[in-house]
Amino acid sequence: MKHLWHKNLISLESSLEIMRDELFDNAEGREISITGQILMEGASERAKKLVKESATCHKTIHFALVKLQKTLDRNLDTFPWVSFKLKRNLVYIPPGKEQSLSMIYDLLMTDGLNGTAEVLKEECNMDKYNVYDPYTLKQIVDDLRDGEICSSLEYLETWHPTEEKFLRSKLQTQMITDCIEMDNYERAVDQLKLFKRPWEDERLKGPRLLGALLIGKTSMCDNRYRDLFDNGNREDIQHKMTSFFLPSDSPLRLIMRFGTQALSQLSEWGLSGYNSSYYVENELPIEVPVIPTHSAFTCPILKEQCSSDNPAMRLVCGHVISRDAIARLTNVLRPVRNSSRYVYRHSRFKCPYCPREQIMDTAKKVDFSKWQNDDDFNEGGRKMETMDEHSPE
Amino acid sequence: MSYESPSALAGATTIGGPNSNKKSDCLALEYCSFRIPVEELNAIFRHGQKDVERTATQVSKASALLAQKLANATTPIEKAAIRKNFDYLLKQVREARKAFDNSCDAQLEQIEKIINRCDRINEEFEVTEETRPRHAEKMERQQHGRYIIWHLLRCGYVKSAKILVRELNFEGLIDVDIFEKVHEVEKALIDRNTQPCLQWIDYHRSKLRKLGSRLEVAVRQQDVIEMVEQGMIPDAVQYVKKFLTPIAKANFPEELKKTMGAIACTLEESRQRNPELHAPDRWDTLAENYMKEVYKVYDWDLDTAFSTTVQLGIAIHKTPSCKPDTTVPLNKVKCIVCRPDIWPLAEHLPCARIENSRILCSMSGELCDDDENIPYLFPSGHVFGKQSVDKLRRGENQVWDPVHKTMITDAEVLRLYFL
Repeated sequence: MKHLWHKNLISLESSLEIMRDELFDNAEGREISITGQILMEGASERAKKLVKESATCHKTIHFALVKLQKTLDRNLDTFPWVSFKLKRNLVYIPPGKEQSLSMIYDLLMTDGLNGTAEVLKEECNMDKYNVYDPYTLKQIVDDLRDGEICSSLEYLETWHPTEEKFLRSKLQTQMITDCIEMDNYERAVDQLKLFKRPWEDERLKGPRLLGALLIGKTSMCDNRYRDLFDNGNREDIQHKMTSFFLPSDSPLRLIMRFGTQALSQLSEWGLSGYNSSYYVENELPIEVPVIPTHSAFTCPILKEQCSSDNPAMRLVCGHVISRDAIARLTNVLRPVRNSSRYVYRHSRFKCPYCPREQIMDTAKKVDFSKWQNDDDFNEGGRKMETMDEHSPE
Repeated sequence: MSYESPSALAGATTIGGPNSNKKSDCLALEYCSFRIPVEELNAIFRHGQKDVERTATQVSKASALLAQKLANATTPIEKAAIRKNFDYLLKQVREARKAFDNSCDAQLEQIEKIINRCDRINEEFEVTEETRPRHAEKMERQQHGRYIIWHLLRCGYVKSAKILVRELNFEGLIDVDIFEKVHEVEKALIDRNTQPCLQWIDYHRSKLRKLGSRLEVAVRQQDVIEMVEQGMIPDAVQYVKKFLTPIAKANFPEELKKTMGAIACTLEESRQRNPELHAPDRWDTLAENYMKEVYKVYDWDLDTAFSTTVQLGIAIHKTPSCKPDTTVPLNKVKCIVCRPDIWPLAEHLPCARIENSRILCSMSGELCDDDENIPYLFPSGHVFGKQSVDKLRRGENQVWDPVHKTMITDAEVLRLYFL
C-alpha cells in the first residue's frame, strides 16, 4: 500500500513540476493560454483528489492496527495467573529491590558481563559486593562458553585450589566431548598434547575418551561412551570456576529457571479451570518438583504442612499425623473444649489408620529439623554434596 | 504492508511451542516486548493520520484557490498572477507526500521490530532434542537477560540496561529509548520542570484521554501552585485561563475550584486548606503518579517478569522449616531459601505445596522411604534413616543417640509410618 501511494504522490508531484516548468519557465510570452489554464485546473483537481484518497487510505491502516492489538491481547495476558499473589514489589520496595539488584550483579559477574556489572554497581551505589579479579573471571567465563579451557587451566595451575584435580579432569573431559560434538578431531589432539596428565586418578577415563574421540560423533549415541557426555558438566565447571572469584555464588540463574518452569505449570493449571477453590492460604496451589533440602511433612488428615505451630506427632501405633488433627479427633469423640488441660491430654481417641485407641499424652513429637554435630557434620556435609552434584538438572 | 502483520504475528508465536494449544504461559511475561511497539505504532499512526489529513486539507485549499484564480479559463491570464498559487499547490502536495511517507516509514519500522521480536522469541520455543543443550543454554541466557534488562529499566538503571543490551547483542529487542525518555521526564518532574512531561502528555493525548487520566490537570495544577508560591498571582490566573480551564472544566471541576481557591486566598490560608497541594514532597508524588500513568499507557503490570520468576522460583523451594541459616558460610547453605541473603525476599512468600511428605534423615540428609532407608524416631524427637541407625549401632540391642549422647536400646528407637 505504501509503495502504491508513494508512487502516486511522487508522479503527481513530478507532473506538477513539469507543468510548472512548461507553462511558466519555458513558455514564451507573459500570459498563459486557455489550454494551459484548463490543464492546470485539471491537474489541481487531480492533486486534490489524490491527496484526499491517500489520507483515506492511510486511515485504513487503523483496521490492521486494531487487529494487531487484538491478536496481542488474545495471545498474551498481562499477567499469567491470578491465585498467587506476590507479596513484594521488587521495583519499589527497598529491601527487595536491593536484594534483587545484588543478585543481578552476581549473575552478571559470573556470566562474564563485567561492563554492565560495573556500571550497575556505580548507578546504585552498591559497595557490598566485590569480585576479586573481574578481568580474569571474564576471560575464564568467555573462554568456557567458547569451549576454550586454557585460561581456566592456567588459573588452576597458578592458584592450586583444593579442587584442582577434580576440575582439571572435568575441564578436559568437557573440552574433548565438545570437540567430538563439533567434529573437531585435530583441535582435541592439540589440546591433549598441551596439557599433561589430566586423569591421574581415573586411569580408565583417558582411554575411554580417546575411544570416543576415535569413533567421533556417533559415540554420543553409543552406550559405552554416553555417560561421558554430560549436559550439566559445562554449567558445573563454570559454577565452580566462578566460585573462586565471588564471595558467594549466584543462585539467580537456578531460581529463575525454576521460576519459569513453575510459572508455565501454574498457568496451565490455572487454565484447566481449578481456581481459587483449591487455594490454601500461604501455600502455592500446585506442587512443583524440586530437589528436597528440608523434610516436609503434610498431615495426611488435614492436608496441611506441619510447622512449629502444628508439629507432627507419632502415635503409639507408629503412624504420624499433625497435632491439630489429634486435637480434632479428640474433640469429635468427646467435646472437652472447656475442661482442664489434664482432661484434654487424657482424652481418648482412635488412630484414623488402625483401630488402636490411645490418649493424647502418649503421642510423641517428631522434629524434622536437621540435627548437626561437629563430629558428624563433615560426614553429613559430604553426603549432601554428592547428592547435590547430580541435582542441578 | 501492515495488513500482513497480524497474521504474521499469530503465526510466528504459536504459544508454548510448535504443537501447543495452550493459550497462555510464560509468554505472558513477554508482554512488554510486544506491547510497547504496538503502543508506539498506535501513537505514530494517530499522529501520521493527523498530519496526512492536515496536508490533504491544505492541498484542497490550494487547489480551490487556484481554481478561483483560473475562473473557468475564458481568457489568457498573466503568468505572474497565478504563479504564486501554483507554487503553493506544489508545495502542499510535496508536504502531503512527505507526511504520508514519514508516517508509513515510522510504522513500518515498528512493524519490523515486532516481526523481528516474534522470530527471536519463537526461537526460544523451538529448542529441539538435537540442538540441546548448547542451544537451550543460549536461549535461557537470552530469556533471563531480557527479564533482567526489563527489571533494570523499570528500576531506572537505564545506563546499565543499555550496556547490557549491547553486551548481550539485544539491539532492537528492547525499547530502551522509551524508558530513557520516561525516566528523563520523571527526573525533570522531580527537578520541578514540567515541560518534558507536558510534551509527553501531548504525544500520548489520545491514549490518556481514553484512560480518563487526570495527569495533565495535576501537572498544570503544580505549575499554578508554583506561581502562587512565588507570588505571581496574575500569571497564575492567566495560566489557569489558558491551560487549566479547557481541560479541567468538564471532567475535573473540583480540581479547578481547588486551584482557583489557592490563587484567591492568601498563601498561608491555602497551605492550611490544601495541604497536599503545598506539601514539600509534592513533586516527588507527582513524579510517582506520572510513572503510574506511564504504566497504564503501556499497559504494564506493576511487577516485572523478573520479579515474578524470581519470587516464584524461591517460593517453590520454601518449606515451613526454612529460616535464615547463618551457621555455615554462604556457599555451603544447601537450601536456596535459607541463604541469609535470599531470606529477605523469601520471608513473605507462600510455601511450596507438598502433596506427599518427604522425610529426610536428620543426620545424612538422605530421603527416607519404606524399603531401604526406613525412618526411625529417636528419644530426642529427631528422625533417623535406617542407614544412619545402622551406623550408630554399637552392638547387640545398643544404639548411640548422638543428640542426647547416651546409649539407648532398640526399644527406644521407634519405627515411623508416613502415609
